[in-house]
Amino acid sequence: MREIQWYYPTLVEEAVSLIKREGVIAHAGGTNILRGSLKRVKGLVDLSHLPLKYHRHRGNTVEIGACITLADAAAYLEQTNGENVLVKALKSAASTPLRNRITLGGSIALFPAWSDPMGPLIALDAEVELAGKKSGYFPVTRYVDEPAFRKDTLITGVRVRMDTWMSFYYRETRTAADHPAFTVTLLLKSEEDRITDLRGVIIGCVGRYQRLLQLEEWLVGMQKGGVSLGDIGRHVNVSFTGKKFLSPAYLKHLVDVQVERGIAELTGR
Amino acid sequence: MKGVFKINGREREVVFHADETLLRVLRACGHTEVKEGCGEGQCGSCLVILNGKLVNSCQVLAASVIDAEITTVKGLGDIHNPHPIQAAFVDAGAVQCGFCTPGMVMATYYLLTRTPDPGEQEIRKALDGNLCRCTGYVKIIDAVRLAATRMRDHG
Repeated sequence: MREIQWYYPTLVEEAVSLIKREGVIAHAGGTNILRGSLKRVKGLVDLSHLPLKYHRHRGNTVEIGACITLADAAAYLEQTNGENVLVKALKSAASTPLRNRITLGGSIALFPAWSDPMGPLIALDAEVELAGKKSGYFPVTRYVDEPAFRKDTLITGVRVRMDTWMSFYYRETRTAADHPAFTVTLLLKSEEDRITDLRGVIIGCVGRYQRLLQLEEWLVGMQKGGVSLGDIGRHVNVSFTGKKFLSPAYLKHLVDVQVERGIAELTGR
Repeated sequence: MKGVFKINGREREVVFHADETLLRVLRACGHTEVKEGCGEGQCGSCLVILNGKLVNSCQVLAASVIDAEITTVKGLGDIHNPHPIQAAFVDAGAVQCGFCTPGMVMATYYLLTRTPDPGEQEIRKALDGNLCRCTGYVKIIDAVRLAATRMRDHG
């Protein structure tokens, strides 16, 4: 057993200054910390005493504190937006007891390959609120893509617009208890049978996530009834590394099938 | 390091290592009813109620929950005075080796205190963090239904 120094800050500024120290990391739910090794960890900053368990609506936008668990976030969002894709994903993630420990901020900060919330957060253009070297609200994709955003910063909250979309969410698992090999998030808006907006995100692929920009460009403006479902795979630009029992080509094939199913469902086919 | 935990209504001061899990701390205190199965948060045999929430104690670092209120399966009932859920598991034939049973009982307790009349999908969802190698789950689900009926009828 190693001796590790625990810190229990009550102010965000205090927590930020602590995580700048070498070997000191943030602890929210802790499930990912236990998954890895504590060998190089000299200190753990427990975030549970920080004022980061809030949730509030501001018009059409929801602001959620980083230390809210996935279970509590789902319960809050379900009160007003039960069909929202983020609610579907949060309620699918992990298991009932793990959802009571995994935090929204931790999910974003660590962004494991099997992440459930990240697909909807990216598709909904969510923003993360940061404190530290970078402060303020930034698109979640910038936080993920640019390492500068992750050094010496703490996620304190998430902001999401809860527009009305038709949504499809799918997670590829072999058994109910499995981590997903990938997830598919599709959002669609239409007016008078014409597709006016579409967003597609795959999680678990090369680069950790992929927006289906080619698919989006192809389908926006099209009549829902005019979508050639058999051609969807050609417009799904995503690649995979192999996983256990799943080759890159097979994973791509599975994604094509699920995106086709999703578009079929969203276009009422 | 030292910390106080309220376990099954009783305050205990415990000395433990900074990187020890709540599971290990509980078992070291004599609460061996909390089982170590996988140690990875998958099997559910280590489930406890922590500050009102069902959690895998193997996935909680004890130092992060000092002063917490913890309920283990022994906090619900014992062999002389079993909780209706414990009795239902026995009466429904839902116990074979018994190793998963404490975790199953805790998950059932968490469900039924929130949803007194759950449907089958709600039961399956509530037990989605519990694995059993023996029973095939059918009698476990029967036990949850039986417990729900008895708790609604008898309070």
